[in-house]
Formats: sequence, C-alpha cells, structure tokens
Amino acid sequence: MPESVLRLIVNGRPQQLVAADEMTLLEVVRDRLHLHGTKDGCAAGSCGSCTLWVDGVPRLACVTLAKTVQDCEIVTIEGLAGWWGKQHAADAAELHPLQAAFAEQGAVQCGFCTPGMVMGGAALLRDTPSPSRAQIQEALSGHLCRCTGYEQIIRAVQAAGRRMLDEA
Amino acid sequence: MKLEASARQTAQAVPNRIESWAKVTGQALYADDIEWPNMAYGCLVRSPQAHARILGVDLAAARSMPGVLAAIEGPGSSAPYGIMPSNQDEHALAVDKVTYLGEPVAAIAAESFRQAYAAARAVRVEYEALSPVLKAGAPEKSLPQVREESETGNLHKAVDLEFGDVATGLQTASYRREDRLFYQGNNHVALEPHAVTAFWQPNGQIVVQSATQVPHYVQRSLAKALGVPEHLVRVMVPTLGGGFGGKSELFPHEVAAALLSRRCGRPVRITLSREDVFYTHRGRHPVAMKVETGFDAESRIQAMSFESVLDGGAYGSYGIASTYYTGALQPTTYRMGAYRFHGERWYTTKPPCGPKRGHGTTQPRALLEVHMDRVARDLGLDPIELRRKNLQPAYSVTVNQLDITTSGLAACLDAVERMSSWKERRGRLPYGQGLGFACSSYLSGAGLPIYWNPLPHSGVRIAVNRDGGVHVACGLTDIGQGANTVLAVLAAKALGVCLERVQLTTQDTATTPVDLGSYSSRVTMMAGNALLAAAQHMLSLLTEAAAHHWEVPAEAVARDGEDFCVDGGGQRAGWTEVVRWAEAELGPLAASGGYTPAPPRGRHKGSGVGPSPAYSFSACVAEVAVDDLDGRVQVKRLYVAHDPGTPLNPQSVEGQIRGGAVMGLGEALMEAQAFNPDGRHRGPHLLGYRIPTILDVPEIEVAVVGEPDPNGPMGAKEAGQGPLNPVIPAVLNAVREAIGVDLSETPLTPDRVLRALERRRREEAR
Amino acid sequence: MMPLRPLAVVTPRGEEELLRSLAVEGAVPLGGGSDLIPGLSWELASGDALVSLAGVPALRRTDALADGSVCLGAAVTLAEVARHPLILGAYPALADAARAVGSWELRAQGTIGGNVCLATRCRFRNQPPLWRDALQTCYQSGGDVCHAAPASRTCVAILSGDTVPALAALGAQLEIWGHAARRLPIEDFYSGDGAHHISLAKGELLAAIHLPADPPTAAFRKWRARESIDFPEANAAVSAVWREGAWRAPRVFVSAVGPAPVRVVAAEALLDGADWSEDLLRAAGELARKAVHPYDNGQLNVAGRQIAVRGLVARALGDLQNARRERGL
Repeated sequence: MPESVLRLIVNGRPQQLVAADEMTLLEVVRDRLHLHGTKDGCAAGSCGSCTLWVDGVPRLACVTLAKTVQDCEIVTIEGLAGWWGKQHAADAAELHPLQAAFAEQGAVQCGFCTPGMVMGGAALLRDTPSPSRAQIQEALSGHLCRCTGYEQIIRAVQAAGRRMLDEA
Repeated sequence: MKLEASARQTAQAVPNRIESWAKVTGQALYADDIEWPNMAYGCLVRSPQAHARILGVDLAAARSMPGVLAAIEGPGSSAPYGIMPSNQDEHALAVDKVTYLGEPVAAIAAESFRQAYAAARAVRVEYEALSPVLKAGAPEKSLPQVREESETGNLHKAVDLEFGDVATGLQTASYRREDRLFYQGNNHVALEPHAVTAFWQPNGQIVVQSATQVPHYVQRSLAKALGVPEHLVRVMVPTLGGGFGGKSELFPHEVAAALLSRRCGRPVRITLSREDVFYTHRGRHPVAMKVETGFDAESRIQAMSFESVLDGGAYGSYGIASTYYTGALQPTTYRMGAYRFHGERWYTTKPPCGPKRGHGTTQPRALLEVHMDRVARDLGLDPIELRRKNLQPAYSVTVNQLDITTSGLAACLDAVERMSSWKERRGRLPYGQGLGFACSSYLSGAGLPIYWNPLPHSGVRIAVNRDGGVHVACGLTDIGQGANTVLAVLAAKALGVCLERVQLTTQDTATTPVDLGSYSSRVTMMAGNALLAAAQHMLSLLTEAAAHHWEVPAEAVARDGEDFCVDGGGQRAGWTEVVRWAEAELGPLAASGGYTPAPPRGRHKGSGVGPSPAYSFSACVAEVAVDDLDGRVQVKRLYVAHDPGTPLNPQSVEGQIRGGAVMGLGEALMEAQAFNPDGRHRGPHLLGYRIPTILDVPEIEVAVVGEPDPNGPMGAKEAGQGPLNPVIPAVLNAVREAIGVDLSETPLTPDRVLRALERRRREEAR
Repeated sequence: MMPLRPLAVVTPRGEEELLRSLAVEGAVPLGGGSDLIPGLSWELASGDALVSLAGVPALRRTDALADGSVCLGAAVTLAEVARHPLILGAYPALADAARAVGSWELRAQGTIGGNVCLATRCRFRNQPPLWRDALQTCYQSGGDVCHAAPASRTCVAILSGDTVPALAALGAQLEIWGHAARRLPIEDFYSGDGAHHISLAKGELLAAIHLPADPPTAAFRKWRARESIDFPEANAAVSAVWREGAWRAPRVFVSAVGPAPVRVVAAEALLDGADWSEDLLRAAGELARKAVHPYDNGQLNVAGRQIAVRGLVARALGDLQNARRERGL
C-alpha cells in the first residue's frame, strides 16, 4: 500500500502527515485533520458539498486525491474567515462577508450545503466583485441545495458583493 | 464583519436562524461529524438481489480481515419493529429472505471505515433468486408473496370511505368527468445522508446520536428491536442536514450500530452512502389514481369518487397512513355533497416508500387539480372561477368530518391571479407558452399520534435561573426548518425577555419532555402551544413573587419591557431581580406545559388520518415555455401564495415556501425513483436521480396571506409542506395550456414531452 | 462513500519520465480525475498507478503556432478552454462545448484530454458495485454480455465528452505520444466499441489537440436532463465555411448516442451549397435523427434521445446562420 508524506498548508497552517496514495482530499480533511465543516453529500462530484479551495480554486475534495495537491494551499470553510482577515488585516473573529450574508439573507436552512456554497460563492466574489445573477448561477451550478430553492443564496452573494464593494 | 449577533436582537426582530453562525463557519456538527473516543466504524452488507431467499450467510472471511471487530447477521439478532403499531414487519438485518436490492443482510464493525467496507464486500451470501414483484395492483396468482402480512396476495391494505350518497350524486349530476394520472415516486434527497453513532455502554444504557426527525419514535422502536426497556435508550439528534420525511422512523443502520456496539464494546458509527439512502428510501409512493366528479347545473361539486393504488415497496413503513392520506384532503379545499375514497397499497420488491413532504396528499392533489382544469375547459369556465364556486369556507366542517378554522384559500387564489396577471394573459399566450393554476391545503400537525396514547403530543419545560437565563427543554427536532428558532423566539416573546436570555435543549429523549417529532408540519403548532402553556405558568410564578414582594395583588403587576412594575405605584424591578425573589420564595424555578389537539370529530375507521388543529392553504400559478424541438419544459416563473396564519418568522416562512416550491418543481419535471424490470434502481446516485440545480429554478414570486388562527400559537399554522403541493399540478396545467397535450404521467422530462409531441405529430399526419 | 482500493499516485515532472511511468503495467493516466476517481471508487476503473499529467508543463500549455493553428495541451482544464482568448476568438463552439461540461468545479478540475478520452457511460454499468454484483459481467468489465443491447456483440456504452463533436466539427487533430508520436483526426480516434472506445496502445497518451488555422464557423448544442452537472443525453456540433454566398464543406457530428461520434454525411450533402431555409435545416436534422441508433442506456428515454437529435442539429445549423448574420455576411 503506497504511502507518502503529505505536505499541505491548511487554513494557513503547515500540515504534514503520512497518508495512503488513494486517500481523497475529503478523507484527509475530515478524517485526518478533523475539519468536519467540509461535507460529504455524494462522494462522486455530483453535489458540491465538499467544495474547498486548492491554491484558491474551488475544488471538489471528494474526487481529488490528496497526493495530487501536494504542497498546495488548502482553505476550508473553517479557514475562510481567517483568509479574509489576512487579506483585509482584519480581526480574526470576523466573518467573511458572504458568511454573514448567508445568515442574514435566510440562505441557511439545514446548512449541509452551506460550507460548499460559501466556498464556491466566496471564490466568485474574490474574482468577480459584482457578479450578475447569471454569473452567480454559473459559479454555483454544481452545488445542490434541497432546502432553500436557491433564491436566498443568490441574494446572499449579491448582498455580500455589494458590501465588499462599499467597504473597499 | 461581525454577524449581527442574533442574541442581541429583541424578540421582535426575528433572526433567520439562531444557529446560522455555526452553519456558515463549519462549526455545526452533524451526525457524521462527531468523533467519539475509541469509535469503531460499521458497514452494512446489502443484498444485490431484489427478491431472493437467503440460503446462507458466510461471515468467516470477513471476520478474519484486518481490523474487523464484529460481524453479525439477521437471524436472532433483533426483534421485528415498524413505525405503525399494526405493521411490525421490519427486521434490521434480513431473516430468511430479501425483498429489495439494497436490503441489509449483515453488518460489520471495524477499526476504520475502509476496513469495515472491505470486510463487508468480502461477506458471501448465498441466495436463491425469486421473481421480482414490480407492479402495484397486479393480483397475478403466479407472483410470489413479498410479505406474509399481506391481506391477500401482495395487497398490503385496502381502505374504503364514503360520506353521503356518491352513486346518486354522480348519477344525477348535470355534468361528470373522469380523469387518471400516474404519479411517479421520488426520494427526499436531504443533502445529508443518514448517519448514526450508537454506544451500548457497559452500564446497560444505550446512547444513540442519529440523524433522525423523530427521536421519540426511534427510542421506542429501537428499544423494541433490541428487547430492552425504553428508559435504557437515549436518542440525541445532532444538527440535522434536512429530512423532508426521509428520516422519520427507525432504520436498519440504527439497530445495527447498537448491535455491533454491544459486540465490540465501543461506540459504532454507521454513515450511509448516497446509494444507501436511495435503498433506505421511504420516499413518495408511486400512485396510480382515478377521479370521477359530478357537478350540478351551477358547476358545484355534487359528488366525487377518488381511487388510488399505491406501490408501497417491500415494507409497511407509514404505508397505511400514506394510503388514507391519498384520500383525506381533497375536501379541505372543495365543498362537495358526497365523497367516496378507495385506496390500496401493494407490496413490491423495491425499497419501501413512506412519507415525503406533503405525505400522501401530493399525488391526489396533482390529479385533482389537473381534473378541475379539464372540467373548467369542458364547462367553458376560467379555472380559477371554477375553484371559487367550490371553495370550502372558513370555520366549516368538510364532507369527511374535518374541522376547518381559518382559511386563506380565497385570498391565495386572488393573490396568484393578481401576481401572474392571469386575467390579462391566460389563453392569450402564443403556442408553446402557458399559465397553469392549482391550489391545495395541508395539515398543521396530525390530530392523533402514530401509536395510540392519551399523553401530550408535545411538552416543554422552562427553567429560569438566578442568572436571569431562561432554559427551554423540548423534545422537538430542528431538521433545518428552523424549529429551534421558533421555540426560542416564542419563549422570548411569551416571557417578555430578550432572545439572548434563552438557551435551548432539544432533540434529546433523556433531557427533554417528549415531542413526537418533525413530521406532519406539527412542530410550530404543538411545541409552540406547549411552550405558551409552560411560559404562562412560569410568568404567573414570577408575577406572584413580584406581587408578594411589593405586597400588591398579582393583577397590579405589569410589564415594561423585561421589567416588572406596578402601574402608577412606582415599584419597578428588573427581570433577574424578580427571578431571584421567586427562587428565594419557591426554590429553583421550573414550569412545564403540554399540548394535545382536540379529539377528531369523525368516528369512522380511518378518521384518525386527516384531522388537524388547523389547515394551511396554498395556490400557485406556473408560467411555462415548452420547447417543441428539445422537449424542455422551462418554468419561467412561479407565483406562490400561502396562508400560514401568523408567520412567526417571516424569513423562515418565505424559505419554506420557496424551498417547497422548488422541491415540487423537481417532482414535476425531473425526479423519479424508478426501477428496471429486474428490480434494480435506475440510478441510486445524484446523476441517476436528479434534483434541480440553481440553473433549473425560475424566479418565484411569493405572497403570504391569511389571518391568525385561533388554534395556532400566536396564530401560526404550518408552512413546511403545504406550498409544495400546488406546484406540480400548476406546472402540468400550464404545459397543457402551452402545447395542448394532456400528459398522464409525471415527471415531465424532456424525453417524455418530445415523445408526446411526436405522437401528436404522427396522429395529425394521419 | 466507497473508498478506493490501494494504488500509487505518480507525479512525473517531464515528458520522458511520464512516458516511462505510463509504460508500466497497471499504469493509468490521471488528468483532473473528476471522472476517474469516482470510477475507481465504484470499481468501474482499475489501476495500480495513477500517473498524474499535472506536473508536465508541456501538457498544460495553450499555444498559438506560427502556421496559425492552436495547440491545446491535454492537461489544460475545461475552465481554461472555456475562457481562453485564443479559443473564444477563433473556436467559440469549443468554448461553448467546454462550458457545457459538468459544473463550475468539475470544469476547473476536468481537462480537455480527459473529456476527449472520457470513459464511455452506460446505465447498466455506471452504477455502484452492489448494483452490479449479481449482474453478469458485461463486455466493458471483461465479460461477454451487453445488458443494454443483448443482441450486440460489442459494448454500446455512450461516448459522453461534450468537446468531442465540437472538435470533430472543427477538424481538430489529436497528437499522441508513445513509442512514436503520431497525429490523427479526432473522428478516427474512436473505435465504435464502447469497451475499448479510443485507439490508444499501452503506453500511449493523448498529449495535445491541434485546432486548425482558418477554422470553419462552428456551433455546438447539448441535450440533457438539467441545465448543469449532467452528462449529455445527446449532443451535436456542425461547421461550415461561408464562401461565395453559400455555406460550403459542412460537417455535421452527433455524439453521446453511441460509443463513437456519428458523422451525418447525408445531411452534409443536403446542406452543401444549398439555400439554408428553416425547412432545409429541419430536413438536415431529420437526416441526423435517422442516422443515429442509440440504445436505451442513457438516463433519458431512448426514443426521446433520438428525436432530440433532430432539434439539436437544426438548432446548431441555425446558430451558424445567426453567426453569419451577426458578422454581416
């Protein structure tokens, strides 16, 4: 069983662990690093619940082998606020504007899709500060939500985008 | 930026969710997220056969694999159980035979999930294949019997109800019409797959953390399955990632986790894969239906006869209730002179069906509303006008003995008619576009519990501590609908304190009074009323303590914000101060309250299904464009109106309306729990079973109508299930309007629409 | 979730190391992995060593060559293809096809090479292991039966890459590395046998895709159940050159209706140099419908999939007309 020393920077912290080559990034994040915010909804890349960032790109952790992201920088939902704080020299306790907007706009119901949605939406807002409705829909087109009907999620992304522009 | 701390808001400004902060930061722990010390991992061995006799289970190879701690099979491992008292037909692990592909046969516990999975794959089971039974309502003698509990053949249950003289009503009608529809079954697809951790502790107590909507029923059933007294089983529910009815009874993995834990002496986690969820199922029944209605000369319903044949799958589950529900709520929207219902549920060798959002009322509502549209067409009436002539009024009794209190149904009709510019646009759209209407109603909690008992349906215990904090304990379960928030907000409102004082303990059978669970849209109604009773009791304790302290009559004590005061007397004390006076006088402060709905009016067999303290009402107009070339039904806009009584949390009510509407849209357009002729699921995964993505959802205009209901807590009724129901028939009716083709089967996938259009093209060419 | 069996991940940094790694028994190329990883966990694919292409710079480049053609490395992601100025400028139909694949995240991960080589799909095989346990092993899994087409002697699983018909309509060529490098037109890459659907020998690798200079005008259309995530239930791409007041040299490809793309020669003959009226485009679509013979192994009903082909082709041809009018021709 080939194993490798896996080196990752996860939420700003260097991590080093020995992991079998066939371990997915989702297994590493949830089972080995105990970051349970990243969810497993289908294990087949069809629901978006496991979305996190690999070197800033939203990726599906369930269909990514950990070894293929060796030395990459990983941001999970637990680290998003910290990432945001670092970008804006802000208090570490502050939320990313999209996290706050999700709570305020009613974009959270059962919450299971929320971490993936927020990671996808936050990447969009980083690259496209004032996204159109169509851009939001395209960016979140791989994220299933069964509770909200999506409208509140779109509103949350729009609201966060507006707030980020106002405060920029 | 800081989240507007919900705790700082007053009870008047209602936060969306008191736990949002945990869900947006990844801190919320779901059943598969919690790590227990020394936890082992379980995996179920499932049947690859849809219907087969078990000749032998060989666990030897699995037992010798690395990391394996325990391996168990069905015979002798647990007692039968079932959610309906009269239907105790399930075993956690199959005994003698398997009756659907995916049925658990054995279970493994190991040090890691990888090891458990590998060992489960190594278990050898010898089967003797039997013919699959795939069709409901087929009394073919040659087919093998699925369950011994059948009435005859594979008929699980047949029910008949009649109110008034339907035969005469139909015969003397000035116009009558019959219509049929096959409504395909579908799954809940809560984003969180089921998961459980069970620990059979050395002291004999069994602690279970499970993703369930009904901890109380799981506790009862699990105790029965394990043969232990109920008080030894404690069921706790972590943050739940959606339910929609799919987590509403005891499941094999919950029993298996407990059994494995007893074997290996460690907590055992079992998490279902997405595939497992489609096998565990309990989703919406496929139903073949027929309705016949006779109208008088004024286009009023004289008599209606409704028949449904449900494909139940392999076990009873909620099936008897589901069967009755397919006949229960037709009369809550339409007044009728006479009504007859015949329902049948059949066993088939497919994953068991059960309750899904709208439980049993969604399918008949689809046919009823399609039927009303066709009647309107025949009679040359506007479809909404035909409904208006037939509305069941507020504060009335339906033909099937259901007590209606408030009704916003007429207001719902008005709202969607106005929002959609129905009068101006309907019938004037070009070919390929259409507007369709439908309305519906739903319960705000089932009037009777699932097993008969005279106890409260919901209980709340309030403790007020000397720090001024309010602790509310209730067995209710927040499945993502916001039940905890409703409870906390109601507590704050009822006690007149800031929301930040309120702490909750819920969804735990050991530390809270029983609430029957999150099903039948009952939580706001029942836990809310129990809360109000408990809060009133607590307030009177505090008021009396203040009155004693001030030596005034209790009636003289008033409130000003959180403070207690005496009008015109100058006495004033803060909340915490009065709490301390009361504790000094009475000891630790606790008050409890319970809620039991009024007994149902009907006395007939089956009268237990349908009664509710109050009914919600909904209406929908769907605007569609049907593409002739690719068959796609594009729903361009939905207009949904709903009457939830007083919306206690307007943002949550809107969320329920939108979410329900989109779930209905999925059922109308794409979702199908369908099977190959050999009994294999067509695709037990999210590419084979497709739910709407963000790109498949139209903009939805929402209207909230209605008035406070006298039975609801602070006037509230339900919003969690009702708004789904009118969406499906509204889409069906809009598609008929757009292309002139009546489709007799759901869902309206593009291939089905294309084939229908092609058929018509060929017929026209002939 | 279903864990993967033990395997090794190899990440070569250069071309030679890459080819050496691939020549080893049990080696499988790993592009984005968005299809291979779930395939491995469902025991649909196997491999002892996954050879990642991500570390080989030559495979990740998009180059405009001196002759006006464009060379796309096999490991370029679909998201990059969809937004690359060179592609958007000269080959917008390819960008459309790339954008039609999966979802945002799947496109950020999936590669163009992976999409061209994508394992064929079948409703009787692309199922979790338990589902198949009691089912006779089919051709693609090394058995001798086809559950989708019992009378067929070969696997009829569906070629499901969206970029394939677009590349075929554009006249793309594939660059294969191996013992000897070779190039072939993409439509010659597919064998028609769903079990061994691409012509790659052991140790060979699809390295790059060459898009021609002066490409024809092209359009792509996809038919599926939802607006996102889903694989195609049928797709089509067409191209033609507007010359001397008429469309010349039309190319009509329909895919996702069998193991290989179908070139609709009859439609091409009908369209070449003709007056493209609405009726003619419909007629071309009808010829395409007749030219394809899908089996009932997709997600949507087979009759519907066949009917849909008519509309896909007619619409794609209409897109060419619209593109011409937009350019004022």
